[in-house]
Amino acid sequence: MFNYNRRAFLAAALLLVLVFSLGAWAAPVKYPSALGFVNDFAQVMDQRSAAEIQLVAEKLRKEQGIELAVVTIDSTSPLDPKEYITGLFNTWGVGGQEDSGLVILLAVKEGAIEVEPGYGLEGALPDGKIGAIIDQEGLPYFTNKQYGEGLANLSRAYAAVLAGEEFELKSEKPESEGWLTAFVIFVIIAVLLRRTRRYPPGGSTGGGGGRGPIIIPRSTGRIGGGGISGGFGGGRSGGGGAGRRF
Amino acid sequence: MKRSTQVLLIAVIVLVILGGSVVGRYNQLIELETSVDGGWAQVENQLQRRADLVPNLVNTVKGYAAHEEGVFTEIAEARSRLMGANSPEAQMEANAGLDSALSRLLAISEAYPELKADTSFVRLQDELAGTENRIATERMRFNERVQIWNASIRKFPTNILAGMLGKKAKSFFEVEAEVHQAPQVEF
Repeated sequence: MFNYNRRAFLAAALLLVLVFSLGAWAAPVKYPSALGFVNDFAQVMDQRSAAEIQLVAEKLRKEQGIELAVVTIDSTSPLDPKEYITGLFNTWGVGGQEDSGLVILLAVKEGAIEVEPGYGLEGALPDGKIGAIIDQEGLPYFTNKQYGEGLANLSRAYAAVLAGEEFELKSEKPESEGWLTAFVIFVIIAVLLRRTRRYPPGGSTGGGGGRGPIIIPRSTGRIGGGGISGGFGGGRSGGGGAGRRF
Repeated sequence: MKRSTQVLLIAVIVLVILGGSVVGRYNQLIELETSVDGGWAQVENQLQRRADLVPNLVNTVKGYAAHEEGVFTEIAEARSRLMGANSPEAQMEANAGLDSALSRLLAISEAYPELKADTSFVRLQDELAGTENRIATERMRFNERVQIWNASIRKFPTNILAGMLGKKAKSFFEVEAEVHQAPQVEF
């Protein structure tokens, strides 16, 4: 009993020391590693939206060398969402040497959407435009808790502006092109099928090991085989952009 | 070999090593100072950017709240003080003045629902908020560099070299509240 008490005391003391030392070490914020263009850490996105964003991002990278990273996270605590997105942006280095990166962050607990451009995109995407697009293309979905749709819609809107299309304020919403989405999903499944066939089932080459039916992973970072696996680096941002609470 | 030649040789070797280390430290000092100056230039860019936004913002607010002249003149004065400031310390101080004038302007705009719904006002507010965040980011980076600089010129033996070259500690860019509490120390 005495022994037990002493042990408990020791354990408690150890725990206390651990907690304090953790507190001391926690000073620099630890950002998660990038999974790819789509980083659904909060697991709030539907597969269809994730796949759409993936496609938009791949097109942006291929045609204009612009890197888009969409991130969802439960909470940005202890930082506020704006500080968090700036830190994350520069830690990941989204946008490469040209600093042409764009990060969209959704923090569920804070009810925050933040969009930040890299130094290289500040001209193409002024803060006022970023904010107006959030208001028009994102907020209606976010207030409805349709996070995936909202993020996909935002990604499409920014991609359109970056491709040189004029963004019209208060224009009617682009119709959701059902057949296009179906086609996109079909292509992705086809790619996945080809991929899994290449390796013998149960082999240790894939990430998931021996899976039977094809499952579209939640985070689509590795889909498409473009050779990216969160492969950002070098891109910087100065903390611009806009954000909203919903 | 004569004894005096030996002594001379050792003295030369010691001198060369010492000289090398002095050159290395000198170059490091210059590099650090340049990085602090570069950091300040970035801060300055963003301060300038904000100052450029101010007239547009004021004009938009004037369209709805023409009689709030007190704030408009306060902002105009703060802005011209910032544009006229030519040392980092003076700029920091003038910027604090613009900070408080702008926050008064935004507080006033709360009372005008039509102004708040104006899309160009919303855009300008986004631009302003984005620029504030940019200032905060560049300020943080600048302060990090100042900290490295200040620490390195106090450390032995670099402090001797820094003293000989007349290099001094640089002031941090404090946030507004701290500027008011603790006036800048003159080194």
